[in-house]
Amino acid sequence: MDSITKTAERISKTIEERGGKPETEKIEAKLRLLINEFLIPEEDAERQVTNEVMREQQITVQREAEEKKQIAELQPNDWATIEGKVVMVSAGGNSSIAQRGIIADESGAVEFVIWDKAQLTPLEENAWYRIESCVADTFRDNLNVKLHSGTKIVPVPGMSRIVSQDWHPIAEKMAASSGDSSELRTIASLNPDEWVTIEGKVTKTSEGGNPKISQRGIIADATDAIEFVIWSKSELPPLEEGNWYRIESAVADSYKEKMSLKLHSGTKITPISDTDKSISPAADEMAVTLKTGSDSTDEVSEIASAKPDDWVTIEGKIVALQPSPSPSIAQKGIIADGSGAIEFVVWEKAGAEPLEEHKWYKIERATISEFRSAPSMNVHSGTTITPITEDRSLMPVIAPLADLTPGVACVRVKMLTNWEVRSDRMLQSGLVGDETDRMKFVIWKNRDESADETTLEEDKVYSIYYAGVEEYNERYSLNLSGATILEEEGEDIEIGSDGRDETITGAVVHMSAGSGLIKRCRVEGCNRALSRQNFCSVHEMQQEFRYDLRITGVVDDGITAKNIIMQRDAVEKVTGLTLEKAVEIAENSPLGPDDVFMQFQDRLMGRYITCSGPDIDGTLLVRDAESVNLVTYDQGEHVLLINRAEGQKGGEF
Amino acid sequence: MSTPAAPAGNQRRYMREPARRAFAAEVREVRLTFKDGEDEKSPVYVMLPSGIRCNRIFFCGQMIRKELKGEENPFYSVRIQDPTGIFFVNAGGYQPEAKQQISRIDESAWVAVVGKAVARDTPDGTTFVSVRAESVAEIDEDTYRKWVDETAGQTLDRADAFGQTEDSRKAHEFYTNDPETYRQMALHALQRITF
Repeated sequence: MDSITKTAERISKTIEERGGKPETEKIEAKLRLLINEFLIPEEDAERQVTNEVMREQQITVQREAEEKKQIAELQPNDWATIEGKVVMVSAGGNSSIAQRGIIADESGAVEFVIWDKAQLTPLEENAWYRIESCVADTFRDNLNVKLHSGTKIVPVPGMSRIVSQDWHPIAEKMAASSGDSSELRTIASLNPDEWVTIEGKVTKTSEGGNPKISQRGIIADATDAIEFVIWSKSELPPLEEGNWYRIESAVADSYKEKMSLKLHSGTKITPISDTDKSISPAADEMAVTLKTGSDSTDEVSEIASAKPDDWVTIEGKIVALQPSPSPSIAQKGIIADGSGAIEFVVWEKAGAEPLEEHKWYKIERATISEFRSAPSMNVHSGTTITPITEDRSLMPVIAPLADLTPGVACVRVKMLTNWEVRSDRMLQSGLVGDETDRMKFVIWKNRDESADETTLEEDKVYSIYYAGVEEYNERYSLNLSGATILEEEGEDIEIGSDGRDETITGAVVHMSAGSGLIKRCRVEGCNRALSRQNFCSVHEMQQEFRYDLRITGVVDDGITAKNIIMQRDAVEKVTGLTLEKAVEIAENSPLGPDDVFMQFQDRLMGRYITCSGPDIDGTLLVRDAESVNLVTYDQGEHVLLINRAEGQKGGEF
Repeated sequence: MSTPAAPAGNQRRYMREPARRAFAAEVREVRLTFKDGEDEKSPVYVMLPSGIRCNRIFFCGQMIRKELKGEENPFYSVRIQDPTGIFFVNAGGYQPEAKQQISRIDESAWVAVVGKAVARDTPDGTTFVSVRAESVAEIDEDTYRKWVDETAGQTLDRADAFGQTEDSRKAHEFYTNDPETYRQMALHALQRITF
């Protein structure tokens, strides 16, 4: 079950609990659309779909807010009702906030924020209120409660109780930060999510490049330069190149580690006279990278250089077309040029003529977005597609595994090991390698049963064209579904580990149940471990099998706990039990193979070993006898330790 | 201009807690227990006075007493002696593997224990630290010596880094202790196994 299915089930449960009748399949389809095609983060998609279904089914939210909470008990994201005394109020500090202040009860105090949009009556200092359905939130590690349009404020007259004095430090912090938006700041000092006021010179401007943005540009002061963005909605006048401005209540923002300054409807722009102040040279540097709206996109660029948020014009060949995953998408596939390949999506709304596989096209003004850290090209209504009639040759670029980044790539690899498939939808999973690295690969089952399914065989070399390079948990893997796989008969590759073998020396602190004498599937190219009932996850019941030895466990050096898998030769060396002996034990012992497992435990648990091998997905693979050794007490090391302990005893004198 | 670090992935990889190395004399002094995170499943740590958080612990020693206690839910209570003192170890119904392993081991054998350190406040106001065993294995004396050396080394490492790591600053704030204590403890342990 993948995470989207799980999310769908969670939503269904929520709806059910609230008295609705969820249709899980519909919910899942909607989630997939939002997540896979609209690239909405999973959490947001979950919220959006939940809200949508609740609206459809006319479920009103009965928040568990009715129960009054102590202020000290509030946790971020709580919907709560609190009762307390407003011990301090202050102005909002920016246009979207009507009032800020501190409310306290006996247990503690917390900052409150009233949104301007909420249109609530401002609270009065020293009065008591019950605040129903406010939301606890954190901002820069400080807890606060937000009062929004759904919040009810009930004055509690005549109340007088002693409240917590915890509010003084909060007041100090607020005082320190309330200056934020009015105090003049240097550009170099800006932090993400701050409301700030700066003064600077506009050194470069350009069109927004998309309808939501009316202008982009660079503004600089003596300390640094920053890209600014004016939202179209803000209706602010465009800034002029070469002029100085004071910009109040703009928001510093950070996207992909790049800072920018957002000018919105609450921002105030005042031209100031040309000061003689110098500006940071960073402005020139940034001007080069500033996206200049439309003019640069007319030049044909290389696919390999396309970066998220770029507007690009490319010339390429459609090397693969995939079934459209949703009605809003007309076509999906891979386009390649001499520099590389990229996934593309043609939106239904683009109204484009269908692209044909193996043909060349010039695609002007497409946009590049990012999906799961891989770039993807969008063909939208502003994109022009022109077929290129001349027949061009395309040499796929074979990339070394060590150089891959998320996206699409061609590789030449040797199939190394089959891994157990962990999902019904998965056809094959395992490890491939080339001269530079090893990498996990996956082939998913084809939904279309009739299509033939290629799998890789161990020890054979393949050229694989246009495979997906995916990232999960900071590790890359190859998705070979839909890729063109050609076997290179008689070829071999010397697998490199790129010196990246890891070594750990420590105690064996855990041995998992998969350790001991195991049986493997005999189907050619499979070699998966069979269950005790001789069941292979792919080839089902097997009469034939091959015995093998394996240890999966944890070696721990006191600082890190490292998962290891030890293969037969290594196991034989550290346990002193050969495969033949293990089979004999298993056949003669009343405990069967469990006897072997227990003997392994007796020989290894709590003992020190050192082992090395490649780290695959967080697990150290110990392949041969040379890669593992038992570690014993060392008199020399002991003496060194005594010297160390004694030597430093009086070290301070 | 400051740029924030890349946001931590929301699917954080599960990391197994390492098994810390500490002598019985240090573990006996533990009084601070804390939880990292609000989550129900967040790990519970004890703060070792030498300045490192410890959820799991690994130690070796001689099993000097083994008792089967409890009538309804029998559990093993064993004592393991290292060169500095005694570890109190329990294994009950929730630790079937350790319980079964202990049943097969004779008193006075050398053993290696992996388990979770648990600090409990006693009615008389002191803190009692015991170890809930995950696994107990019989070993030889050579492995025991190896453990003493390793543990002395890591204790010295912590004494060297005392005051420089966040955990050790916290430990110092709580225990108001002197890292010199642990250097002495390591030296003492090393001398006890010198032959």
